[in-house]
Amino acid sequence: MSSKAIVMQSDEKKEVHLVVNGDSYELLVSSHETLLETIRDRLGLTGTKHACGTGECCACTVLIDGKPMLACLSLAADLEGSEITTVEGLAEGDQLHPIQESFVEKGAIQCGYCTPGFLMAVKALLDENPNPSESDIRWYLRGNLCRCTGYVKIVEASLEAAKRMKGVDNK
Amino acid sequence: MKKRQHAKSNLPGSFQVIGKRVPRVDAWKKVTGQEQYTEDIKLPNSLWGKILRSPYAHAILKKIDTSKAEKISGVKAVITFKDIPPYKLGYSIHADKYALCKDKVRYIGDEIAAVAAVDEATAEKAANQILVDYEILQPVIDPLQAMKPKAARLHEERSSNISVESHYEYGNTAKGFKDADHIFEDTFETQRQCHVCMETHGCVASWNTDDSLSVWTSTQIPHLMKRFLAKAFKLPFNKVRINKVGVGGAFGARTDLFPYDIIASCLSKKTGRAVKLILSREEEFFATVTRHPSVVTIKTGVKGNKITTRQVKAILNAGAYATQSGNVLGSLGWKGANYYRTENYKFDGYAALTNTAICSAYRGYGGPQIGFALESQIDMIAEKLHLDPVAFRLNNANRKGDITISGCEFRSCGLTECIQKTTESIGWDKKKKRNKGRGMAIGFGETSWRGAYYDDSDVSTAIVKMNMDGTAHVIVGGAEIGVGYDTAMAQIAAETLGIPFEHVSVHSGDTDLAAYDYGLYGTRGTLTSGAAVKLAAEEVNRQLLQAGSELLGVSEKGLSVVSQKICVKKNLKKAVSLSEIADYIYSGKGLALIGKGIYAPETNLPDETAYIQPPGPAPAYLFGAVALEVEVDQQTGQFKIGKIAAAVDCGKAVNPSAAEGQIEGDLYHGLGMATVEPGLTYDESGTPHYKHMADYKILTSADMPPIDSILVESNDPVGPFGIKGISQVTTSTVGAALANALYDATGIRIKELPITPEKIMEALKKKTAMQQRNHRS
Repeated sequence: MSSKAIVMQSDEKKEVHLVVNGDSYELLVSSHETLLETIRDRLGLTGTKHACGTGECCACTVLIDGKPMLACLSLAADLEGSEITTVEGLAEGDQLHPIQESFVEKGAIQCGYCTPGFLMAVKALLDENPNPSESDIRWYLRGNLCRCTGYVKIVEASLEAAKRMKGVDNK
Repeated sequence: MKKRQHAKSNLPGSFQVIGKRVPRVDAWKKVTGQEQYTEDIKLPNSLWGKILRSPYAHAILKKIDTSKAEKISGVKAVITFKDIPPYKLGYSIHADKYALCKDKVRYIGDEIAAVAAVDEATAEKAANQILVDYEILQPVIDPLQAMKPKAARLHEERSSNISVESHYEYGNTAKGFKDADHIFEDTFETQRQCHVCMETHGCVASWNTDDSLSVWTSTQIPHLMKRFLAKAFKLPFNKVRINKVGVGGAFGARTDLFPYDIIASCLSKKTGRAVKLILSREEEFFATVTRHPSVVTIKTGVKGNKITTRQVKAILNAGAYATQSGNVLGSLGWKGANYYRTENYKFDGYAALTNTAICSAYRGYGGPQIGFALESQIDMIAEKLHLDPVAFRLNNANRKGDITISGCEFRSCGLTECIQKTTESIGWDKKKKRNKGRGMAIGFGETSWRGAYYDDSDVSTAIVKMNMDGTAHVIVGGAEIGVGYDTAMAQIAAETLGIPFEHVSVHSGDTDLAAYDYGLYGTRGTLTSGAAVKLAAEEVNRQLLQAGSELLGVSEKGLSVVSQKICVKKNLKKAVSLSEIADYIYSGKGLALIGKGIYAPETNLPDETAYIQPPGPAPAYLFGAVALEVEVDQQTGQFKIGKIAAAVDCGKAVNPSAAEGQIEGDLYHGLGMATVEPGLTYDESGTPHYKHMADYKILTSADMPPIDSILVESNDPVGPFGIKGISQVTTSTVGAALANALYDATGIRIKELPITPEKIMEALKKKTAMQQRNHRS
């Protein structure tokens, strides 16, 4: 695990330690700084998208200690010691995660703006329930809005990912 | 007249790359978070821009005091009307809006002033410290009221609030109605749908030290933007560069030059620093663009079981400025003329200015408004005449070889197949249970809308470069906006050059790299850019064949390209690989391999009157059908769609996966409009009711019914490889299919979108009351 320290001058003085995609960060954050601002503006991880800023579309879904959370509604100051996974942390080196592979191969991507949020939500779903039915998937993902696909190929890709991940587990 | 350039098609062919479900070329960037959208662009030393918008729907600007805002620490510039170039946004004669208002605001959200500051919070704080004195005027919200001669005028220089009107007739409708056995007249209404792009609008502008301007933005029209910005700032065209970045949803919402483009450029010029200006989600709702709300009256004359005559009157709410209203009106009226075989047609259209958000391009471009009205009425007519609605449609349907009253020639037409496949898919003829209903509707569209930017020809361009290892770059003038455009261009180039799909890289959306192109809208990209790419690749092929001939000592006629080799036709073993030939051209002959392609259909000649007169024919026409089953709870009005089948005749699907994705997206927008999306509504002061995704409901994954997307391939002779295009048709079709299915289930006819349980309950109550009354009397 590599370690980076980014210390920023700020009005507020709270220091937090975050592990983002396996990298460790010590950050001085203001009390109102959202995790979305921290990861996008401070850490340069712009893969997580800003779409509404008010928790209405789930485009900014990340995993905080394995749970799907909205980065736009999470305050960095509250996350001392948390492990955060963003879309940039999903692949292992050159090897795409089976969820990413499934989205690519099933044509589940159009504009791509909601894609990172969907990938993280599907990751959370499949970690909780490796055998979801189509309706399980539709229900779990109901907060993640997509304006391009009608969700058809996103649901197909999620089913495919579940199949592939089981295949990996069986090995 | 230019001669029509029919791109040569090897039809019906077996293709190596065309028609294959290859992964999108941008997919990897998009699943790893590498794709950069406007807000992700970070230039060194850059500032944030923020706009002060009008809180009043209609007011005179008496005084703007920026002194307080200017004094705030971190503020680098504050601008008002006097700082911006005197350039009016809008298309051609419809240009009527300054980027910052001069002396009057015309809707809540109208731009008044702007700030550049070191960060977003400071910019916002400063914008709120700009003091404005308003003289509040009576707002005009309702388009029918706005059209009255005594209504308060939005634009003083206009003689009325009618932004544009259009009147024309084919044949003789008066005689047609006189001769008809039956005449039907009905009025339908649709709402102001919001695009709700996941990425809000915005840009990053940099006025450079060499007096050039670079703009990074999510746009459908990079080359038009370049032209408009160059004109606005009086810059030579070579000094303006548009870098189209990732586009987080377009749907027509990004086919205008926006005030923020000029504002950010102006702020950058003033400060000497790059300026990022990203709209908030609230601004996205009330201060970008929306679909035109409509009132459409259709009068149809029927003789026997044939539609002979049709008259359409449409009133659109244009919002506060003209933008593309004339063209949306033109598209609506023109579609009405061509949906079915008709002998006589008359159109009267009006777009009325009101003190509400601007209405501009939205997927369908007038199609959903006319489609809902026309296809609802077809079922109403069929019922009155005791005709089967499917048979009635088939009886009047367009066929291959038809030339319509407006002059459209259908060189291909898969409409009958679309109708058959969709009805089959949902089990149209199967026995129905109580409270269940089935409905269908057809759709009609065209490739390349010619009205929109009618001050020059509708051209697409491509450059194909082959490297010395036989791989290729394609530089196209269009823009990947999420639809799979770059992938389609890579497939077309790979197919034409006979090289693997993976050996092609596509570059689109950069105005310095590519030659002029109209952009990505109007279902034009795959056909027009595809034709240009094919022409460019063919030019490279000619050079390869010539060099191959030299290497093999056989005349070009005796050679053919087979799997990355040039072979002697009579002896396929005698061959030389493309990479060897390419290397020979570069290293042996000291030359380079470049091809260019320019495609402009003859039908797209500039026409200043295109917005008033019906437009001329398009290069290709799209046909489609939607059929669905619905179950209604008559106690609550709640309804559930069992399955939707949607078919589109796209000519040829370059990438079936992406083509299905277009149908699914079309259906999604159409179904949202037909059901849960309230549309941006206003109170009488002109205040919009919706500013958040939480209030403006859009469909979720849990709401969507199962979808069967069906590709019908009619192999059109004009486009490359038989391609026509696919999008927009289904968006215009699904509303009527749902209304028809609900009627089938309940016997009530809803003529107003969206269809809600409340409207169904109200209609059911009315129906019951009427039945009771009839029973008593």
